Amino acid sequence: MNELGNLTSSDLKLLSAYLDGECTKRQAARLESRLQAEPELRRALEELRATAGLLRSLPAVQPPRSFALTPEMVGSRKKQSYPVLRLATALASIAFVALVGIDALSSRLVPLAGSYAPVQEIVEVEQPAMEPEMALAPPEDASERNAHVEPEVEVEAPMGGGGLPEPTAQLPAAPAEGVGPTEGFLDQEGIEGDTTPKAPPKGKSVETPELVPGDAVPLPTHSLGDEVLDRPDRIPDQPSGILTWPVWLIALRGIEVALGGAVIVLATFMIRARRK
Amino acid sequence: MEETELIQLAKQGDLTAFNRLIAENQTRLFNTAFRIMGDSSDAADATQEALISAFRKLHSYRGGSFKAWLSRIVTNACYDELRRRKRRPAVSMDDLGSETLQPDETGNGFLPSSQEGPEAAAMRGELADAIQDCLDGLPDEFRVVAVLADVQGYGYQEVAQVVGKPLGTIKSRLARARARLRDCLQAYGELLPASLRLNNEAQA
Repeated sequence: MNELGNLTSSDLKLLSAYLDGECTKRQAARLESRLQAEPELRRALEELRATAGLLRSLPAVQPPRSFALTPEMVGSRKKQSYPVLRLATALASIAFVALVGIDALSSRLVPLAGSYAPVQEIVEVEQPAMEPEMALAPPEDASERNAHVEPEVEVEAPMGGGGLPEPTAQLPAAPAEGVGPTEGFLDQEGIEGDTTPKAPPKGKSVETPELVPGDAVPLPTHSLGDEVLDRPDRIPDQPSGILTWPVWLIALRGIEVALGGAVIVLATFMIRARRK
Repeated sequence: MEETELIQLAKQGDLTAFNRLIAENQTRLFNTAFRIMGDSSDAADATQEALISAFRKLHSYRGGSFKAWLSRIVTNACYDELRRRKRRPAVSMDDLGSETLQPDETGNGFLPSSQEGPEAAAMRGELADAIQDCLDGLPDEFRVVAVLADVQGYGYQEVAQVVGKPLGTIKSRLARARARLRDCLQAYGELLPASLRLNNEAQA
């Protein structure tokens, strides 16, 4: 049996550490006294020293190649970005499609208040009523159509200087106000956000000019229909629906544009990452 | 340029600076991997992978011995490769024979396998092969400590830093590794220096 095999694990550990100078001074002193008294321990120490010496004598082997890194080696990290970019592009695309779908659906269910189509409908509906005879119809005729029209006509009639004013006499007044009755109608529609696709009754067109702010000079309520009828060329000049979009819709479309841009950018980076 | 400056530049992505650090350390790192793996090709692959990993992890280097930090990454790469080897299906005897009889790329002779008997290694008269054969026969955790402390000459503290174990564990593993190596080397008889045959001669 060799000497090392007879050693306890603590003695073996102590001898090995002593060999490397990793013992405390106290441990070293105690071990040295034991070494003098125990020849077997001394031989074990020599065998450990010879073994360690053999390992240290192993020649250094030259590397078979240089391990210098190239940009391609390090660039392989960029490939790891491909799955991330792919996922991000997919998510952005899904979000974009979903938003566009919501936008389209909401636009169909809730037509825009500022869209131009309802105004044209009003005009078309009111055109037959724009005949002077029809506009100056007796109150009982108006009351048959709409009860709200009757009181206003009665109240405003005296303001016109006794009797209902001639429709043609009111025409010059509208451009002078700066805000025509038709414009006021559209503005109020936009403010109220009334997006229901119901056709407004004729009486409503009569009431609306009273709510236009800054309209100092009261105009005959029926002048709206007259003006629109007499100057149909003004219709295309009315504010477009874009100006009266709700805030949420503007935000939604802004997000759509941003998401669309993000999809394009992400897809570009994804393709570049894949090529690398 | 000093090592600290090169490390700072490399941290900023300067590959040239990092390659200068590699040039200073690659022989030692490769030898560490070679003695742990016992195969030049596997050691080269492990070293290369470790250095790529080191460049990417450079931001995690917080000072201290850069040599020990690099060695730790190389050692871990070797551990990973050794684990993969153990999971692999057994290699056929034909493959094993051709591998053990091929000279290594460095021209340093034939690399013995741990499967090879001491007589075969002794017949080649290569003490280095005998030592490597005994190293290969050690458990991984003992072999790594023996390579770092005795082959590479690291201090105990550095070995503890590389291996990530307490100093007492390192002392214990190194002592047991040396004892096992000594027992293994006894089988090579005449290849050993007189100092190691002391016990046999005394017994005779």
